[in-house]
Amino acid sequence: MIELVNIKKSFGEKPVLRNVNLTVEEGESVVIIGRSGSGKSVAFRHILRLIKPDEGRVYVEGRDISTLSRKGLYKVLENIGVLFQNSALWDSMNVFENIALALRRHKMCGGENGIRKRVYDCLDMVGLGMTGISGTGGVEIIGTRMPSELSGGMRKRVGLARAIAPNPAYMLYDEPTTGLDPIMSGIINRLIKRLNKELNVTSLTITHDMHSASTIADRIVLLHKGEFKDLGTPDEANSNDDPIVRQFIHGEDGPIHPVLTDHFEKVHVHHS
Amino acid sequence: MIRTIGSKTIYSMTELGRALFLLWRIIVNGRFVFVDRRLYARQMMIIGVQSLPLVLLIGAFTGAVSTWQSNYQFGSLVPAKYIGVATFKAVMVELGPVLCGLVLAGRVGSSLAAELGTMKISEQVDALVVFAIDPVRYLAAPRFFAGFIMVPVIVTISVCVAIFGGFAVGFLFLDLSAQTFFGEIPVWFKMKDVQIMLVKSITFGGLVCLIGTYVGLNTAGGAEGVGQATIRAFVYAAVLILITDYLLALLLF
Repeated sequence: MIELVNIKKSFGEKPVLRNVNLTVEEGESVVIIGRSGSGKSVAFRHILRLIKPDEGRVYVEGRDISTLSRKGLYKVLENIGVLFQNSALWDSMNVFENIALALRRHKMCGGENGIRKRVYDCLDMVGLGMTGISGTGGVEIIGTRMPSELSGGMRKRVGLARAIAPNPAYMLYDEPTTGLDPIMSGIINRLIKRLNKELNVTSLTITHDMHSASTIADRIVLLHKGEFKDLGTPDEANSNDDPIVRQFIHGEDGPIHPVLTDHFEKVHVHHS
Repeated sequence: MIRTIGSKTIYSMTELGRALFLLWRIIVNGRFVFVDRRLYARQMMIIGVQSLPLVLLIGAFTGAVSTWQSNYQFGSLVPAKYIGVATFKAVMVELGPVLCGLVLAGRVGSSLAAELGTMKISEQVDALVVFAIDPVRYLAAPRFFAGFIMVPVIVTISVCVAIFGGFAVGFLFLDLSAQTFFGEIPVWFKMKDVQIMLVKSITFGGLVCLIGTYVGLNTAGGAEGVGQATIRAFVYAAVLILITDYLLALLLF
């Protein structure tokens, strides 16, 4: 279980998270939605202790990670897989080395043969196996490629393979479909949904892609003005009457950012 | 005015404290040198072996200029046999370590800052952390110790090349035979000169790699931030090399 309890975080004078509370139950898939710059990534980074809160606590499996030693934190992190927004593949290593690194460092899979098998299995799971890429050679060919030789979609899939390789109990996805075309977004969304189910992981995703949220989520949470608002299941979120929620989910006119809307309309009227 | 000086002092002290804390963590992580030997070997190759051509070129010309200048400055005052000794002493205790240090601040320090800075802004350093891989052990320690070990080696080689560069100029343009150029060197040779060269090059190598690593791992602000980091790494390292050189001169002579 992941819990954020009364998290407050400011950068300089600007409060980003005012009072954030969130519980992600075992096996649940929660999606945090919110506008760009609303603080989703900040909340996300608190769970990994890449940022420390000004106030509040973050619990992973009941352990308060803000008080753990570096060693204790790494023990917790070994159980969390993360897909970064830009994949964050290590660009000095090929695909195989990217996926194998954590397995080697933590002495998993019982030696080099086990690691090789695990890497190829993970590449297969994310659709980069024998049938996953055009031509022949499959996982062995993709394993030798450098990250700079891959398309955005392939990088995401390699990032996903790297994240699931250590067999984590928790998966965190940071904007998994940002920058991808709709076809590739659909593939990634279905892949995440399938992996969450097959691997039985607890997952937390941040996105502003509503289609992605509807596909992946058991429960959707909106981050607005530094606080979380639980919207329930994707169906419940879609039928929510709150004007802010409707504006965000359906793109209707609403109370968010009226200044920008006025400005846009003035420019629009002026040009027409 | 006072507020600006105060805030800059606090900023500098904070940076110094953080850099020293990084140094402490690097030293602690040095105990994994055998386990991580491949990482260390790779960095020794990049920092040491790949810097060698540039350092050798600098050595050759430093020696050549030293001999020419020695002859110009006091060729008429002292016997020619002392020109070789002057070149040897100047290159070994001062010019070799300092010039190599300054060049390596640009060649190695800036490259470390750019490499690690790019990794930092593209979340590759964060990715190491979330995979429970300590960036200090995985990235910083191999780079620091590679500089610490390899810089004295390449400075020593550079000094040897500089002496032969000096001899080449003496032989070709100043009519100095090998006997004249090298004859007095064993008489004036002191082990302390070698020790000073080694102390200086170890210190400068450690400084360059620590600063490059520290600045790189604390980069922020996208591509512009990486550009600023490379400049900062070079400027900090160059300034600190000159200050440290002065302090070592006070201590060692």
